[in-house]
Amino acid sequence: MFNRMGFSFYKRVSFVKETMMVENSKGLHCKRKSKFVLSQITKKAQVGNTATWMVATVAIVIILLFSIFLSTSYFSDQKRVASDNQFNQPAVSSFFSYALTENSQGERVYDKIKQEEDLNEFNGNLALDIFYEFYSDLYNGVWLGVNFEGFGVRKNDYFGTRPTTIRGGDVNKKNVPHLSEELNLTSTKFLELALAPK
Amino acid sequence: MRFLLNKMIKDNLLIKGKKEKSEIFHRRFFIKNRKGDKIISIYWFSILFIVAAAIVYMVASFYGEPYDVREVEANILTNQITRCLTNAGYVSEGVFVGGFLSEGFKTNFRDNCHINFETEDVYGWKDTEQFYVELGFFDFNSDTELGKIVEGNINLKDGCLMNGKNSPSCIDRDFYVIDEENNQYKINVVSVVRKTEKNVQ
Repeated sequence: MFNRMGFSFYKRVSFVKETMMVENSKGLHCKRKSKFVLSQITKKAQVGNTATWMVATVAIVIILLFSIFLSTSYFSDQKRVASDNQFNQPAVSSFFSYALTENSQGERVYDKIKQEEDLNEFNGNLALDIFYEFYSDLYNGVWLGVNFEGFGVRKNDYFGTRPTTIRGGDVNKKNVPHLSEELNLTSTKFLELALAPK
Repeated sequence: MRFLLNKMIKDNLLIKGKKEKSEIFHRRFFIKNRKGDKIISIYWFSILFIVAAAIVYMVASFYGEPYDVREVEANILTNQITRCLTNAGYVSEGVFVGGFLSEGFKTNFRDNCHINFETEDVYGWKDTEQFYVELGFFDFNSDTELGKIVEGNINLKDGCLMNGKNSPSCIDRDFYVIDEENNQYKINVVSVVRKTEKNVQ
């Protein structure tokens, strides 16, 4: 009969349990909970459930609104393609012009650096006036000096230590500045302009 | 087990009498439960639709927005002008005459540097130019101005002072150059690209 009326097995079990609980607690033989008590319990449960879901709905809507706000405000800026990683032709042109500049004795900067293997007062200050003045706002680090193959510290009195950014994993760790333009001085040494990104 | 349960229920119902029995099997008992189920189902479907709509909106707001490439475009324009003004480390021939900017070079700047400011015929771009270029030529040591070239829509320059997505993209670069006589110059290039309609939504 229960099955025919669509009463599930689970409901039957709970119904029996409920009846038995009433029997045990009140010591009455086979007396079921009254209609009044049952309806009170059901209403309380319904109010509890409704309150839970109302709070849950508010929480869901708040989370969704926050996600939408985040995606529209923060991630939309990611669509701007910045020119920081682009080739900087003005800096490269400045570097070549700097190397060709002659001092008061008519000696080229390139030749003097090749001879001395370091920056001197004239070409060091000129480099600062050009590269530090023009590009320090665009880049995190501006460095010009003599670089070489192999290990060692690349340092001079005008630009300090060569800036580096680390790229690659533990095995393939490499120090690479963002923009690097080189002019060979000897087979192992070269004059380098290194611009590290912000 | 099932038999025992059935028996217990049957016994209970028999003892309680006809009134309580009819209460449980009354039509209203089942209808009430089904209504609750329906309400819960509608609630769940509405939540599902809200979440789905939010996801669609988020994806659309991210992927529907175009890439803003105006800064790259302005950078390319600057690079092109720099290449035009220099040749192997020296200033290009014909740029300076007698230590000042050549009038001939200034007049034919677009042709000399192979630049045109043509754009697609959309959003009324044909009527108002979407590019602006300003070149300042200075003596490197004294900072004296030796000449100036202005090309394109000058109204765009004011937009560089403003911040915001809808303002044009501006790139301001300086570079150092010398001539064959070892005269040192500083050249300032300001490139501005508008094209807001296609790059910003």
